[in-house]
Amino acid sequence: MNITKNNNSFQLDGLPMTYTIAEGTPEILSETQCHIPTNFGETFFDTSITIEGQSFENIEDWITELYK
Amino acid sequence: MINNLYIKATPAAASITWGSITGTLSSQTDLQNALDAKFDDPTGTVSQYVRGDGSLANFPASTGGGGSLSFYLNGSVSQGTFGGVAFREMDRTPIIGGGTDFTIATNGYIQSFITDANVPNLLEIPAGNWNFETYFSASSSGGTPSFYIELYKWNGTTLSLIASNSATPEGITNGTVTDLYVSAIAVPQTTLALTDRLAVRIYVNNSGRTIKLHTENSHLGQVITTFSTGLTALNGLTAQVQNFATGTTGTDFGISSATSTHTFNLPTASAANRGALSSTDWTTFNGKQAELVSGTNIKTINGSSVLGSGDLVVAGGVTSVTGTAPVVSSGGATPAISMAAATTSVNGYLTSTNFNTFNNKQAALVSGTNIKTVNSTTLLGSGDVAVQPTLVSGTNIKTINSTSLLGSGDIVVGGRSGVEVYQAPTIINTYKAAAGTGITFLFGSPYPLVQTASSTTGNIMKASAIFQATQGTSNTRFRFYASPSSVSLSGALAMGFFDITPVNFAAGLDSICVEKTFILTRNAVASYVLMALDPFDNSNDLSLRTFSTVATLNNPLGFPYLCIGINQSGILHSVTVNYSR
Repeated sequence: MNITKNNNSFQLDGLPMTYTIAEGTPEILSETQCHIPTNFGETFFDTSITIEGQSFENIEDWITELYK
Repeated sequence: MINNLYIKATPAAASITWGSITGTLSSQTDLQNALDAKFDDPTGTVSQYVRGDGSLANFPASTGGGGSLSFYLNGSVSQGTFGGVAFREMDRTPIIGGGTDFTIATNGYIQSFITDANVPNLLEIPAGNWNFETYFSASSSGGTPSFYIELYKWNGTTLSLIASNSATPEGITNGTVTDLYVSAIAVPQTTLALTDRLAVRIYVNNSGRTIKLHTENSHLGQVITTFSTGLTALNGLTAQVQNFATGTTGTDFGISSATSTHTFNLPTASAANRGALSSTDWTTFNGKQAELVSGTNIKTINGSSVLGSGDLVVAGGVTSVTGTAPVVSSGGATPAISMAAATTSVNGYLTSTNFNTFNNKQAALVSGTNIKTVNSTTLLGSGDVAVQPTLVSGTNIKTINSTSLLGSGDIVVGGRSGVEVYQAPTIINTYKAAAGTGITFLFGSPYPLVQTASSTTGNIMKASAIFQATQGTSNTRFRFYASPSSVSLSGALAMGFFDITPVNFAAGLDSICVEKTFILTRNAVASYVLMALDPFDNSNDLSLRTFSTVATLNNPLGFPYLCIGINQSGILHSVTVNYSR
């Protein structure tokens, strides 16, 4: 899956929802997984998801790119 | 009487010797030798002749007939002025009258002569010597008077010099005596127009004397040219040298003459052309039927020739003609033959109408080529192809709660309730992994558990799962997610979790099972609230358990699948879902 960013929100391929990044601190579950605060609640993501087509090996870089 | 005497002439001695003749004629060898030395029978060819010295020579090649064309200087006829010069006549016909003389007492042109208009009417002057015969006399002898001649052509506007012998003037040497002087000019081959005229100017160096030029009468001044007096015009061509050529143009034999060539055109004979028979046509004609001679190369019929016009009545021929159906004959020797048109019941000929009808019928059907298949099944052959007719909602397809099933999209069906148990009582999933590797997907409900967000009553779902964990040094955490997908946690909302911690294990237990229950219901603000029952509530009042709110779903339709994950080794035994929606 791939995330397409748009300002403070983003979409996942094939899903009808637009996730808005909410206030809060990401929860790192492992080197490849995390929970991101969104308008829907704590949302699960891992590094298998690319951001704008870019791949990441660890979740910290992934989070940095998502919040960039 | 003298007998037996002879005279012998000896060239070397150049004297005459007398002797006696004895014996017979054959005995006169000296005479025979002398005769043998004389001219023998000629050994040349018919194109040769014998010269005076006895040698052979070839006859000279023919160069055409006729002599040279001559002009005469007619001094009494004035031709007018050309290019500022007054000219007298130079013509092919001499004037024999009283004679006309011209004098000059200085150096200069004594007289000029020019031909009449359109004379010589030729296209070319052949190269060669032009001879001039002129009569001169001087007022006194002595000195070195002389003359020379210039030859011009006049094209109507300009006099152009062709040749001159000014470099070699001819001397007038006979003093006061009127004498004939002959001079010559080497004339190059010169192109003429038919309208060009020729002119001659005579220049005199008088050498202190009065020089007289005599013309006409007994002193005819004559110009002998290289023009021929033979052929002057042939088929309208006046070129002095003319040629023949052959051609095939035109529709009949004809001669085309142009410039100096006469082309004999003999076209090939055809339906339109009269001309020569081509070898191809000759072969064709030669291959045609030879003249028919009855009884020789064409048979007779009953002794009668078939050649000629008219009808040949042959007795004993056809007397009756019948027909086989559908051909019908009226009978007799000259029957009418007919055939009926074919119909459904009559054999006969095919009418053009029926031909068009048949021709317009469907060509042989080839499945997949000119007739489609239905779901890859050919339509050709016998039997029935079962094809679902067009669905008409309410007619051949039922509705759900009065809503058509046709079209795209989802139908929300409410008012259902029941229990759905997944994989109970067998183990759904067993996961064994080291702690700290994150969340591993264990379970996803096979179909959406939340299907409507509009109702404020009902729409309650209770999900219970039995988990088993083995005692260890860290917590075994089971996580519950509301996910957009039944097979993935990506983008899923974390609804809550519970841990089985080392302290949960009583002494002597190395493995415990826990049933954990979640209830999803609707709250007062039109959201869904997930509540969890604490399995380790130690309250004695078993009738009332404590539920805690663990999550709120603002968009439950976007996350309709219940998914369960685990953080390390553990077992999910069963999931039971009670629902009302």
